[in-house]
Amino acid sequence: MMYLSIELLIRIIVVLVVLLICFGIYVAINGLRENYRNKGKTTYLDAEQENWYTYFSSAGEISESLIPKTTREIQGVEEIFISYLKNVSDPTIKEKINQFSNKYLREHYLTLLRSKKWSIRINGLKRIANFEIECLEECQKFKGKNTSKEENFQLLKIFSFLNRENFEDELLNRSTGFSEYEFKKLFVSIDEELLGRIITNIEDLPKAGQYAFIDILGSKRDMKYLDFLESQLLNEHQEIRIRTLKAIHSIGVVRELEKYIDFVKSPFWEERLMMAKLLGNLPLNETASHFRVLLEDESWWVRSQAAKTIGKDKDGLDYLKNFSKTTGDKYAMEMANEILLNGGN
Amino acid sequence: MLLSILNFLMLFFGNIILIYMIVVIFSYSIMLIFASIELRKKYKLNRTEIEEDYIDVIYTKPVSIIVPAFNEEVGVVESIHSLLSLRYPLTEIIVVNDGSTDLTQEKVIEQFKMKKIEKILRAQLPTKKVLSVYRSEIHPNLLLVEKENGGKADALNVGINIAQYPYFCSIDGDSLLQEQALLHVMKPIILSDEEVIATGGNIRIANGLNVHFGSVFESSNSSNLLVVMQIVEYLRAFLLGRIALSKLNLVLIISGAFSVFSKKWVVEVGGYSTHTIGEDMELVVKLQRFIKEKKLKKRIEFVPDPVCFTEAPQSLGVLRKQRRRWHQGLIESLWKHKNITFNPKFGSIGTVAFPYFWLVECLGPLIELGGYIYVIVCFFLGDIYLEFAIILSLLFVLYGSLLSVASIILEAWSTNTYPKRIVVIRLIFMALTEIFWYKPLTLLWRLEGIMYFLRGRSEWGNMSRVGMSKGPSR
Repeated sequence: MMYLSIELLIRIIVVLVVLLICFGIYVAINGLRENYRNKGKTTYLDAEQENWYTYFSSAGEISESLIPKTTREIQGVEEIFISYLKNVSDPTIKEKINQFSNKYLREHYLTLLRSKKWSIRINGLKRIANFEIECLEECQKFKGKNTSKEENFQLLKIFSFLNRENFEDELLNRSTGFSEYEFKKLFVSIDEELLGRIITNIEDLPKAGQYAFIDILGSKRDMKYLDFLESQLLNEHQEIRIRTLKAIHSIGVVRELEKYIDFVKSPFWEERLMMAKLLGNLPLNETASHFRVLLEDESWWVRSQAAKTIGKDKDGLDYLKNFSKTTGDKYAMEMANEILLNGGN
Repeated sequence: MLLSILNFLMLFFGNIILIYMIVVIFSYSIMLIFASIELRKKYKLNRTEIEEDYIDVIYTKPVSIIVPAFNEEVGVVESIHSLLSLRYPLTEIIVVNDGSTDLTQEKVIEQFKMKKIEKILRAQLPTKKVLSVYRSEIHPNLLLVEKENGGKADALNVGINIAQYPYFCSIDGDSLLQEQALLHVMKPIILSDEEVIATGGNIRIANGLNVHFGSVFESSNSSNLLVVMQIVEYLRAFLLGRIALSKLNLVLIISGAFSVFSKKWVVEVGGYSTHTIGEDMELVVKLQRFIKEKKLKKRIEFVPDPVCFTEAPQSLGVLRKQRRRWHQGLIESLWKHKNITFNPKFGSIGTVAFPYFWLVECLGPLIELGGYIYVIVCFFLGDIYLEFAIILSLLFVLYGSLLSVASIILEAWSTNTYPKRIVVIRLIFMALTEIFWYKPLTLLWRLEGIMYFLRGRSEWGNMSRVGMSKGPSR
C-alpha cells in the first residue's frame, strides 16, 4: 500500500480541525458583530426617520441628532438617502442630500476608497456617485492603478458630474470590456448634454457601447434624436440598423416612409420583423401594400408580427378579413385567421 | 498460496481506494479554496442595490417561464401566484398541462379566468399533440396549454414552442422562487452580452423554512434528520463543486428545479430529450457538446445566490427513489455522450469535466462503498491491515466530515442563510455523523442507480414529481 502514515494523517486532521474551529469562532463573532451593527442601524432609523422627513420637507436647519457618529448610523443615513433619491424627484431634497453628504460623509467615503478590499472600495465609489460627493482628485488617483472594470464603471458615473470636460476621453479609456448592460447603465445616468456630445463620437465606442447608446436614445422617446437615428439606418452593420429601427419604433414617429421602404424586402428577417412593428406607427391605408408583403414573408416571426401589428389598428380586422380571402399563401392566411379569431389580439 | 493471493488482492484494492480518496479530497479542497476566493471577493459588497439595478426593462431580456404540470391540482394555483409576484419586468408564464387526470386544468381555468384562444404553433421541436391553448383574462401574460401526456421533457418542449421570448426558464411545480430569483439568474446573461446561454440557480431546501410567496421570513431548520442531512449535502454540492466548475465553464448539471436557457441554442440542439431520465443534465451536456463542436464563445454558468427553495424528501423510501433516479440519469447522459471523455476536441469538457464526472460522480459510489467494506474486512483481518483500516477511516473523516463542516462554515460566513447560530451548530454536528449512516445509505442507493442503468430499467414513463413529498411541512 502507498506509504501514508497514520500519524501524518492525524496531524493533518488536527490542524484542519483547529483551523475550522478558528474560522468557526471568527464567523460566529463576526455574525454577532453584524447583528449588533444591524441593531444599531435599525435604532437610528427608528429614531431619526421622522426627523429626516421634517428636515427634507421644511426649510429648517439640520439638527445635531441627524449627524451620524458611527458606521452603523452612516449606514442608516445611506438607507434613508437612497430611498429618497429613488422615490422622490424633488431637486431640493437632492440638493440637501448632496450638501449633507459632502459635509458629513465625505471623509468616511474617502476612507473606503483607500481600502485594500475591492468590495469596500466599490461600496465607497457607489456612494460617491449616488450622493455626488466632490472628490475628483481622489477619484483621479485610480488612474494609474490597475483599476477593475466595476471600479471604472463607478468612476465614469462620478466623472459624468465631476469631470464633464474630459468625460468622452475618460469614457473611451475606461470602458474597455464593458458589456452592453454597463454601457446602458452609464448612458441612462448621464444628462442630455453629454449624450449629445457622445453622438458626435459614437464611432469611437466599441460595438457594445454603440448598441447600448442607440437603445438608450430609443428609451428617451425624444424626437430630437431622430436625425441621428435616421442617419444610422444606412450604417453598414446589420445590428446597428436593427437597433436603430427598434429605437425609432420606441420613439413612435416615422417621418419619411421612403427612408424605410427597403427594409421591407431586406435579406435579414430581423430587419423585416422590425419593419412589421415600425409600420404600426403609420395609418394602415399608407402601409397596406407593405404589410401584404410582410404577411406573406417566408419567416414565421415576420408574418406573426405583421398580423399582430395590423390587428391593433382600428381598420386592421377588416384588412385581415380581406387579405385572408385574397391571398394565395396558406401560412399567411393562417396567421391572419389567428388574429381574426382572437379579435385582434 | 491462497494467503499471498489474498494479500495481493487486499493491497491492490487498498491502493485503488486510497488513490481515489486522495484524488477526491485533493480536487474537493481545490474547489473549496476556489469557492472561498470567489465569495471572499464579494464579501461585504452591498448586494441589495446591485439586484435593484437589473429591474428596469431597458436592461433585462424578457423571459418565458415554463411550468410543466402533471396532476398538480394541490399546488398549481399557489405556484402560479408566486410566479406572478416575481420581480422581473417582462415575463410570460406558460403552464403546460401534460395530460393531467386530476383537476389541474379546471383549477387554473377557474382561478385565473382562462379563455380559450386560437394559436398557431411554430413547431420548432417535435412534441405530442397540443389540444388547446388558454389565456388568462386577469393576467394576459399567463397561458395554459393542454396537451397529450408525454412526460416532463415533452411538456417543456411544448412550452419552448409556444414561448415568445428569447429566454425561457424551466421550473419544477413544487419549486418556490425568491422574488428576485429571475433577476439573479439572468444577471450573468445580461452582463455577458449573451455569451452565457444557460444559467442555473443555487437550490436550497424549503423544509423548515417559513416561506410566503417566494420570500423567506425565517430560516429555522427541519426536525427531520434526513432533511438536515440533505441541507448539508446541498450546501456542500454547491460550494465544493458548482462555483468552481462554473468559473471554468465545466458545468454539466444545472438543476431542473430552476434554470434559464437561451431558446435559440436549446432549439438548435433539439430541445429536451424525451427518452432520458435526467432531461435537465442531458440538455446541458448537449449544449456543452454543441458549444465545443461549433467552437462557439458561449458559456453555461451557475449562480451562487440562493434563488429557489425545493422540498426535500422526508422518508427513506422517497429519498432512495430520488437518488437512484438521479444517479441513473447521470450515467445515462455520461454514457450517451461517452465519446466526449478524454476527447481533446471537446476541450476542458472532454479532458476535465467528463473524466471528473465519470470518476467522482459516477463510479465514486462504487469505490467508496468498496472502501467501507474494505475497512470492515481489514478490521477483521487485523495485523498490518488494521493500519490500512485506520488510514482509510481517517481519510473518510477528512473527506466525509471535515470538508462538509468547512462548507457549512463558509456558507454561514458568506450568505448566512441560517442566521441562528444553533442551526449552524446543528448542521455541523449532523455533518460529523454523516459518514456513519447517511453516506453509506446514499452510496447504496446510487449503486442501485448503476444497477438500474445496467439493466436498462426506466420507471418514469409519465412525468412525476419525483421525490418531492407533497405536504404541509413547508
